[in-house]
Amino acid sequence: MTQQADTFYIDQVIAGNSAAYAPLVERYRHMVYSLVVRIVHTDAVAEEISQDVFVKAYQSLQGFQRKAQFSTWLYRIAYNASISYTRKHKQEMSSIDDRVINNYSESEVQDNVMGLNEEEQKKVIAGALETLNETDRALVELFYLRDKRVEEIAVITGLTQSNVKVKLHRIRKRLYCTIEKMLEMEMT
Amino acid sequence: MNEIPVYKDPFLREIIHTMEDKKAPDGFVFSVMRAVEQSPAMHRQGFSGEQLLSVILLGVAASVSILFVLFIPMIFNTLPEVNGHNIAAILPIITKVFFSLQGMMEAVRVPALFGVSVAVILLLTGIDVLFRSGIHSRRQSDKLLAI
Repeated sequence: MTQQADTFYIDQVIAGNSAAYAPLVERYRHMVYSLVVRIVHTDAVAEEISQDVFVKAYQSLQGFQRKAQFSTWLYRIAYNASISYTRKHKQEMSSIDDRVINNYSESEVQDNVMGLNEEEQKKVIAGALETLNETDRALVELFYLRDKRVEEIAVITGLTQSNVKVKLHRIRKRLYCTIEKMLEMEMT
Repeated sequence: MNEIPVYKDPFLREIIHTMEDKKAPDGFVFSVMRAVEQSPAMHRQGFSGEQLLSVILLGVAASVSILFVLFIPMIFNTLPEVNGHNIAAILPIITKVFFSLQGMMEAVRVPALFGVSVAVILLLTGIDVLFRSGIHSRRQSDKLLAI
């Protein structure tokens, strides 16, 4: 079956054919869910928020001005819904003190991680990601996992491009620092 | 040789990519479509700025009408010497009512009137706050969706 462009289905939905929304949900469900669960952590909550995201997008489809891609628009709604949820439920993450995040050697951390087997690597990186706050986790999902450009991430998150770059730089340092601490703890 | 910007890290990208993808659960599309079918109709174009202003003006006009309906009989009832033919005597009282709370109390001497005026002021303030918050959240939502 040939897949139509997003705009084809969007036009159909706006014309009154609500069933035409299903292919869009099918196409973007994993993408939305993945971002939401990365931010809110809990599977059940992520499922509920993701569902709300698609319902809100459906109801607001006429407001989609098509200046950006439909996926970017959906991401923007998903990001805002998830961040709102975490702020309402005050999910606090333990963060590393900014004063100590420079105390590591990048190449040493990289060598140590490469010395681990694949499962151990996954465990270490997953653990390090858990220590980031919700905005940083969203940035990791968008930048590293979804390979989104800084410009698109700025549109999704509402941050400026320079702010996104600064945050990504800080995330990078935090991840190295956390990984180093985790490896040190594993050795002792 | 191209230098890699400080915010990029090929090593992190590589190890983060080894992580498992989070996937939406089975039956997700069905749940969404069921929710879509049960949800209110798709939002049509909302109020334009002019329409919103009309609604606000209508609200204010309605409140002012209520104010007149409540005030005029009280003024007539409490001042027996004033009748329909003596407009010149009524006008200064109305002016006082609207321009000075103190004057209003002196002219009418009805304690309940103070309560009514406070209620009307509160009503108007309430309408104002409601509209402002409505406009604010609408703007926020429009800003979020307008791309």
